[in-house]
Amino acid sequence: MIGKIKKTAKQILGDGTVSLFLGYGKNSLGDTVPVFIKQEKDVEKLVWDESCYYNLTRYFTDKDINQFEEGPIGVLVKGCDQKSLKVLLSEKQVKRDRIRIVGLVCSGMKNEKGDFFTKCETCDSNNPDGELCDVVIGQKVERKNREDDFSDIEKIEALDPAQRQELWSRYFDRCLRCYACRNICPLCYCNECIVEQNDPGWVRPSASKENNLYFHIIRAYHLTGRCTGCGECERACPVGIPLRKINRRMIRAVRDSFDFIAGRDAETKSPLACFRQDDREDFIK
Amino acid sequence: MSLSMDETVFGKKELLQILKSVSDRCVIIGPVMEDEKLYFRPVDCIDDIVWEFDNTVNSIKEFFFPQRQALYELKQDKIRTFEPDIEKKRILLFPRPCDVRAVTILDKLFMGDYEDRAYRTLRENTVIMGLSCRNPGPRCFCLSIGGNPFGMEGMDVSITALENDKYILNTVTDRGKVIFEGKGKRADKEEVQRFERLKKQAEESIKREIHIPKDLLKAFESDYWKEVSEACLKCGVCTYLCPTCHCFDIVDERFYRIRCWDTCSSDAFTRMASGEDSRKNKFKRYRQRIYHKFSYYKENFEEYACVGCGRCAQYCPVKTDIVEIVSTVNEKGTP
Repeated sequence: MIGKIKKTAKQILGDGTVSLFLGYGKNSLGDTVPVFIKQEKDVEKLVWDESCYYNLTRYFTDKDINQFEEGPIGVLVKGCDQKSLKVLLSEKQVKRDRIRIVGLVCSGMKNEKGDFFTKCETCDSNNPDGELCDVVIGQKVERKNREDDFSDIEKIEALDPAQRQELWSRYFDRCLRCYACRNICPLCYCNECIVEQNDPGWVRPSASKENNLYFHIIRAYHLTGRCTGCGECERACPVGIPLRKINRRMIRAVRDSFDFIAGRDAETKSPLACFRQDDREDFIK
Repeated sequence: MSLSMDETVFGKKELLQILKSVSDRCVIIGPVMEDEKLYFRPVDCIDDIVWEFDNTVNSIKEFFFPQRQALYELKQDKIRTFEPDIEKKRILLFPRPCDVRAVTILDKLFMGDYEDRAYRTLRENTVIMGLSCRNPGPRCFCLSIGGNPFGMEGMDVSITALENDKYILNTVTDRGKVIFEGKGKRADKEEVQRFERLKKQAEESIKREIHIPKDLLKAFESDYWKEVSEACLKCGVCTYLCPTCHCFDIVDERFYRIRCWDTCSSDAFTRMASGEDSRKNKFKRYRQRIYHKFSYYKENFEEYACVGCGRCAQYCPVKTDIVEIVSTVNEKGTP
């Protein structure tokens, strides 16, 4: 597979289709890192293995990557990353004709301990959507459709309110407010994040019980109906806050209320971002 | 520092007993497990403390330079200032030599020309009992930046596990001596030799080396910094977990004036009220972090602001490796 990836990258860099190719490489410690390839000769840096967990679509909205001015960008996307890409397209944050999508068939990514990520255990998108990709690389794998599996959330919901409060307080008290969760999220692209506004200062910058809770509630709400569950926030968190669980709770809420799951297609707007006269309102009590 | 035969040897039980006997007079801070990760926390029960580990997620800087610290409160027309709560003395148990050395590096700033009273108070009321690092991790590089896995710099007591139930203690300062005076058994020749052997083994197991160019400033304008910071997310993981990073912001929260950690990688760090920003691009911010550690701090305090703990490389969400970046500046970065 890596041979085909390199070949494709080399080809589109070589003929000038793209000026930058986003892929996976290794650093000197052997850790997988995102790499930014601009020249054909650097294509050799590309790798593909079970540690290519990065969601590279995050870099499309990175204001420091101004490569778009020079030409389209090529990018490696797994099925899960592609869902974020569809949301970005539907929110008009990236133009389809400015990117070249190399879809990768993926059978799961592993963390540093060698275990599959939870998102991979219930993955329903091993095969990227061929219609959206320019190329798909890899042998199609059998689809394990388990998107209705919300058992992780149900487990938390089964706790009584006091226990739940205790659980989440323990997590949020630990939050460093480093904003790795926000900054790695492909869909957190606001020009100015609400936590950095200081006139008025809605969210206080210092790390305290109340401030942290407030930040995480806002983060969850801003991603409601948009988050695709790629889980990069949870992976980036240095203090192990299970952020994906919060997002999944909201994914289920939007599915139940609006029959909508973000990342299915690149056109439909999130129900919270638009108004329709026939919007369901039976959940308003 | 090497050992003499004045050192004492304790069993785990004895050590626990001594710690328990002082625990009603002291707050004990040590490494404890929280959801499968290890953190330094004040502990209620000494038995929760973990005795064998690689290193904790957080460093010990937060116990001297807290992440959030109220400086004063405005009450009608009065100002009430806050002093650190030091009703009880604190024992900081088992920090690694790198983390303790980091505190001595911070001392130069917080207790240097401009003294930070709160910092000094916390510092003077804390006894540090460090734990030698018998199995340094794959990302450790303390040796090449002036540290040692068995170093004792900054410690009041240095503890080394000789074997399962045997610990050799070196009381470095009088503060440490008071607690252990007249207790334990004197180390015999064999035990001292074993200590030296373990030290050598630990030193040899550190494979990573950082090479800091002496003329780092020459590479300031190099495009190298753009290249190495491309993947950076501008989050605060590296700076907040770093045992020596010490930048802070001062903010008002209701009637309180608060000092809280801040990070040079953040968008808002150098943005002024006018909207002007002297470090608009992320390469400028990343370069600042490197230069602060390896150039400016060295110039001001004759020491690098890095101890080689390896946390930034381990916890960076995109695995930016500071050792590789600094060590290849000369090769790739000098214009």
